Amino acid sequence: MTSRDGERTSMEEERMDETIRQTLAASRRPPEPPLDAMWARIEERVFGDAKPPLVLHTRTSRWLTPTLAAAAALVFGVGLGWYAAPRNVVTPIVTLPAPTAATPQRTASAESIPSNTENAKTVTSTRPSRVAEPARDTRSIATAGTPDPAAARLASQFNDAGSGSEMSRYLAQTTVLLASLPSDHAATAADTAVATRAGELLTQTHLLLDSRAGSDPTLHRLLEDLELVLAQVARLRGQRNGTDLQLIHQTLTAHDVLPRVHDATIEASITD
Amino acid sequence: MSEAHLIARVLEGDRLAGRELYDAHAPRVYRLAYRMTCDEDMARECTQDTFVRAFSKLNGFRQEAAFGTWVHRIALSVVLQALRSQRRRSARFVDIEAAHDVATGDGTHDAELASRLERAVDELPEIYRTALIMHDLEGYTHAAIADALSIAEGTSKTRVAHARAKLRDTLTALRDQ
Repeated sequence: MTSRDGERTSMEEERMDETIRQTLAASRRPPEPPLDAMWARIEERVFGDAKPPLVLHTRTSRWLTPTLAAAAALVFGVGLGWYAAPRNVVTPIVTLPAPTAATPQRTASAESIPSNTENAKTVTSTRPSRVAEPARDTRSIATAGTPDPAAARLASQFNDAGSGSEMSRYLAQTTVLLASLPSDHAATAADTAVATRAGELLTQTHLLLDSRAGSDPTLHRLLEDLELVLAQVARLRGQRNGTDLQLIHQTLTAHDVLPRVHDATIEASITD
Repeated sequence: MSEAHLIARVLEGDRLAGRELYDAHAPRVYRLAYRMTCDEDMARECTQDTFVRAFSKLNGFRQEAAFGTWVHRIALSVVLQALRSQRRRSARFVDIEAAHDVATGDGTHDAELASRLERAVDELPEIYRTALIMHDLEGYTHAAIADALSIAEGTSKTRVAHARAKLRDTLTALRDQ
């Protein structure tokens, strides 16, 4: 193609782009925005039920002092118990909410304290999969018993998992992984690395599902779908055929996973 | 009055400051929402949800970016979620009347052209469609798109170019008929 042909093609493309732009601008021309009507609804929802600053009334104050005293006594008692407890006694360190129909009780003894993320998966794997769970406070992890570095690390993971920055990091890493999925059918050496990374992210997904972030219904559903995809990817190591990859891509497409990850990334950056 | 000052006043519960911020950004948010959804009700709902969410999360806004950029980020998230959940695009009819506004050729051809292009836009992957509408219809810069979508500026350019190429194919096919 000569440079003149190239110029002609480029000009023709520009003309077509302009026709397209004009046509779409006309067919998608927005009406005048109903600013006042929209503001009325926004005002009602944002400022409408604004409550005055909380004031403790006399009646509340009468109960406040004994309640605080009882709480202080309780904290003192628990602290004394920790101090007095023998260091080599096995004590429960993970205390989760009482069982309900949807959430069986989950406890772990000091013997099962995970010392690395692989072990962390065994603790979290008792979570009933794909069941909508109520928000639960995981901050109680490792708040009893003797201090243990591994338990503290796990507790810190649980606590950090709900934060916006942690969520952003997780979503970015997941996007990178899903974008680097092998495209051909034959198993390659890269499969092992991808599968290993998927396993790590799967552990993180479990932690996030149990964190405060996981209590958001939209995010919870996304995390559950990612859990499924990452589990599929984690199985890619070793023998595989085209069907395995096809299944992963089907899950990604059928559940709109990547666009939803993108939305969640924006959301996390907003709340961060 | 600066936006930072208005934000501080909104956080103290000042509705008038809220209205001032809203007036400054709502028209553009509404336009974008309408261009993306082609539905007045959805555009109105999305604009309302955007500002409700923005005001509710205002204490977490660290003012590292401009308020407008932040609001547009929220708006895009709200609009894309609404589009996905309601799936109205496939059931939407092209506004034939609006297509007549294109003042070239005869009316029937323009309506057909608009209809085919609208369908082609709807069939574009969401990431390309969003970038195209923001850039070519609403005049956002690639830098602004990159900021709002948390992508690189080059990625925005690639997405717009890809979307345009797809639509040119549609136009060519229509002309060849």
